[in-house]
Amino acid sequence: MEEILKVTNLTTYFYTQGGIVQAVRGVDFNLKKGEALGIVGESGCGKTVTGLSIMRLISYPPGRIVDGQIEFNKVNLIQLRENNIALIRGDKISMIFQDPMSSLNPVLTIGNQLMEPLIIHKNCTTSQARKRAIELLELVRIRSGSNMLARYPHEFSGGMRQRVMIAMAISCEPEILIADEPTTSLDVTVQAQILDLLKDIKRKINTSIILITHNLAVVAGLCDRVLVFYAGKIVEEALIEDLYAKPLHPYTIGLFKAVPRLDVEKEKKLQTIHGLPPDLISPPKGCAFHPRCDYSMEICAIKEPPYFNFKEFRRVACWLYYGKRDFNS
Amino acid sequence: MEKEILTVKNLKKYFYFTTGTIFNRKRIVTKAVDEVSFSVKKRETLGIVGETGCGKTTLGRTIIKLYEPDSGKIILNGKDITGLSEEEMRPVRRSIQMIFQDPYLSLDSRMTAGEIIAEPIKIHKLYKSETQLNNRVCELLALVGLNEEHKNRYPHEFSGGQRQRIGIARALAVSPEIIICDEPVSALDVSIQAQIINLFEDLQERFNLTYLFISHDLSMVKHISTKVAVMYLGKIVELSDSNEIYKNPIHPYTKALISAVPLPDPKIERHRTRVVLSKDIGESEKNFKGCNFFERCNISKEICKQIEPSLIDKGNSHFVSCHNA
Repeated sequence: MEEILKVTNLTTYFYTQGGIVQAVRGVDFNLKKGEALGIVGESGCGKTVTGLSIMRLISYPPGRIVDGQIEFNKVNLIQLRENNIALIRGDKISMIFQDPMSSLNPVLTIGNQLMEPLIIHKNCTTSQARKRAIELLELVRIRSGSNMLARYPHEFSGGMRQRVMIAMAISCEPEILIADEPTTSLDVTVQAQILDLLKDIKRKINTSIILITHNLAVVAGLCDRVLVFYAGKIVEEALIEDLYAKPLHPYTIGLFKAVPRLDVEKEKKLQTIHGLPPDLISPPKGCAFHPRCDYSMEICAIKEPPYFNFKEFRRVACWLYYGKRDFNS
Repeated sequence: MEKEILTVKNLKKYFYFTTGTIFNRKRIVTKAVDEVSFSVKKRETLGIVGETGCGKTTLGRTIIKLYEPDSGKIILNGKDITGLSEEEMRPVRRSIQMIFQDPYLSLDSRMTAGEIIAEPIKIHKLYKSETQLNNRVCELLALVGLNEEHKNRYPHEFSGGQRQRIGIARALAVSPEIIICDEPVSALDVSIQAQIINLFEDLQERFNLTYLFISHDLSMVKHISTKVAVMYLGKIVELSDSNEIYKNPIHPYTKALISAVPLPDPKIERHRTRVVLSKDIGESEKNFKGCNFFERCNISKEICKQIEPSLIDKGNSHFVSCHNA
C-alpha cells in the first residue's frame, strides 16, 4: 500500500501565560492508503492537537507548530499558505470533531452546512449539492433526507448530529478522515452504529482513517494499527493484533488493566496507574512516564528512552527493552 | 442475611412541558421515573444502567428528594420518607448522601476544599470544637487519598480525579449509610477511573456502605455492582444479580445494550454480530399503550403494542418486564 501521509518530528506548543505547554513533542508516524490508524491516550496527551496540526487548525496565538513536517502526497502541509491549505482542508483531508453538540453551527440548517463543502470544493451548483446532501444523509442512515435538510442542529439527537458531522466530513470523499473521539459523548448502542458506519465508509470509498480515542475497545474493532500517546509522544506503536496480544510499554499495559472487561469474570480489584498525568509545561526529565511507572529504573529519570524497533510497525520507547532483540524475552 | 435498608415502591416522577405556538399549545409529559420499585440491602451495590434520558439520574435525585416524587413510597430503614418536609428531611440526609457526575460543577469554586468538606459537618452540628472539626476534615481528606496541605486550596487547583475525591469526602463527612453515586467516574480519564472505583470499594468495606451506582458504562457497573437494574424510558425492564444479568440477559433491550459494548480484543471484535436496534431512543412519540420498547424491539408481537408488560420474576430472583421472554 502506498504511503499517503508522513508526519516527521511534529512539535506543537501553546504559548500561555503560565508558560509554554508542550502539547506535542516530536511525533513521527505514517499512514497508508485505505488504512485505519488508531491514536490512543488520555486527555492532555496530545492526540487531538496532532489531529488539529495535520488539519492546520492550530490557531496562533496561542498555538504554533514549531517544528516538523507533515507530508501529504509529497506536499509539506506546514509550509503551505492559508489559502492553499484551505483547498485541501475539508476536501482531501477532513475531520470529525469530538463534540457533536457544539461543532455544528446552531443558526444554519443541516442542509446549509452539508452543502457548503460541496459548493466550495467541488464547484457544485446548489441543486447538485442538494441532491448529493440527501444521498449523504442516506449514507449515514438518516432517512427521509430531503425533509431533514431544512432542520436545525437542535432538532437532532446526539447520535444524529454525530452522523451529520460524519456526512459533512465525507462529503468530498476525502483521502484522509480524522475522527476525533467520534463516539465519546454517545450511548453504547449509538456508538456501535457509528463505528459500523465508519467501517462501511472505509470500505466503500477507501478512505484512510485516523481514529483518535481513549477507548482501547473502540480501536479494536476498527483499526489496523495503533499508536499509544503519552505526554505528547508516541510511547508504543503496533499492529492491532500485536498490541492486544502483548502490549509492551508499562503505560499501555496499565491502560489495559485499568479497564474492567465485560467478557471476563470480575477480578478482585482494578489495577491502577498511580499518580497523575504530567504537566506539559514542565514535563518530567527522562521518560515522561517514569514517576508513575512500576518498573522505573535509574536511567529512566535521566535519559529519555529512544525507540526500540522489533519489526516493522512495532516500536516502543522504554528502557526495559534496551538490548533486547525480541520482545517476548 | 442483611435486612433491607432502602425500599422504593412504585415511585413516579413526571415532568410537564408546554410546546408549540400560543394558538397551538401542547402539553407534553415526560415520564422520567415511572412506577419504579426495588429494594437494596445493607452493603449491596445496586447498579442502575441505561442510555441517556432513561431517567436514571432523575431516579437518584428523587430518592434523595432533590425532586419531589409524584407518587410512590421511599422507605429508608423502615421509615417512610416520602412525605417529609424539607425541615424533616434534614436529619434523614445524614444517612443518605449523593456524589454528583461532574466534578467541575458540583464543587463551589469560591470555597476551599476544607470548607467544602466541613460544611455538612457544620450543618448537622457533628462537632464540639473547632479542633475537632479540623481533625475530622483532615481525617476525611486522608481517607480519600488527599492530604492536609490540600485543605486550603480551591477546586480549580485540583485535577478532575482529585475533585471527585473531594466530592466523596464531602459525602462521607456525615457518615452516611447509603451513597447515591451519579456517574461518578464518567468525566474522568481511564487510569483515574480505576483509582476512584478502588476507593469506592475500599470505603464500602470499611464503613459498610450501600451504594446506588448510576452509570451508562456497563463494564464498570458489572465490576462494582452486586445487583443491576436496567432502565428504559423511566421503567426498570430487568433487575437481577449482577453475574446473572450479564451471563444470562433476558430482556431484548439488555441484550442489545450488552452486545453494543465493544471489547478490547480485535479477534472477538472483528467477528462479532451485534443486536442492532432500529431507532434511536425517543425518536418518535409513543402513541400506544403497550411496552415502551415496542418500536425498537426485534422480537415484538401484537400483544406488546396493546398491553404493558410488568416486572415478573423469571426464577432466581431475575426480574424481567417482557411478554416474550
